[in-house]
Amino acid sequence: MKKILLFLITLALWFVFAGRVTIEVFLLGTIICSILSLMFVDNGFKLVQMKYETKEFLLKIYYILLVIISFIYDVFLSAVRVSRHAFEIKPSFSPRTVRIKTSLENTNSMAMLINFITLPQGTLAMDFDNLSKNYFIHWIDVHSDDEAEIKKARISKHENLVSKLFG
Amino acid sequence: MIDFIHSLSQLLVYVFLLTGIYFLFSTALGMIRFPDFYTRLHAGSKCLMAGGIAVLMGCIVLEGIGFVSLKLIVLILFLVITNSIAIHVIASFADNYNILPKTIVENDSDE
Repeated sequence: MKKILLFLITLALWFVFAGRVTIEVFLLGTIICSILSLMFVDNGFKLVQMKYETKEFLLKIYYILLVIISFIYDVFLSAVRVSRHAFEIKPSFSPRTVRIKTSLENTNSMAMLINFITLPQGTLAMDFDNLSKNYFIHWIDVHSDDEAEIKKARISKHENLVSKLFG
Repeated sequence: MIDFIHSLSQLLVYVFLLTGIYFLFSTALGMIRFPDFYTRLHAGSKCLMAGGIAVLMGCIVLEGIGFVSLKLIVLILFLVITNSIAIHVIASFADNYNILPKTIVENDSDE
């Protein structure tokens, strides 16, 4: 069942990329997608948590869409700040590296939080210590301790959001 | 009315493409002008991402509702996922090999 589901998903993606539905595209897609579904059936479904009801699942997809939109908005804001430094005559930086402890347990959630740290807010996830569950983060533009605390609070807000969405 | 909508979409396309050009240009400028590896990574991640998304959004508006737009949306999603992971891996590699920043860094990682 899992193999068939993965096969259908990859075949649908194959048709989207191919842009047309012909017998040649279908045959080549069938061969490639069946190989892919055989290869990734075990690992692919480890990432999916099937513990939600259908309604909860749809609600979660809606929230994920909202998160993606706000994520893209944050990326634009952050890019404006960084590009302003690029056009300055004398670029003024105040970089800082910090360590933030996370309470997340799930591997997917940790990876999502790395995405949230690396792109928005002028922060960059440098490293993650698996044993102590610490993120090492590089900030491009933090001028005072207050600003640092605000940014740390924003990261913990993102952490809460990720833990609600992905557990 | 149709002309108005058409010119509005054309205007939107130009806005998106010009924004994309601005961000991509600032990526290149940041890569040259920023002082050290980590600050350059900031330019390479944020500006490149925003530039890429803006250009692709412009293409989506230009193309309208269709199969090509769906492909472009999938491309944006892939870009969102892969860019940040790639930048994180590069930064992690640099950190593990003790590549130090040139600018003075306030370090409160040992608190």
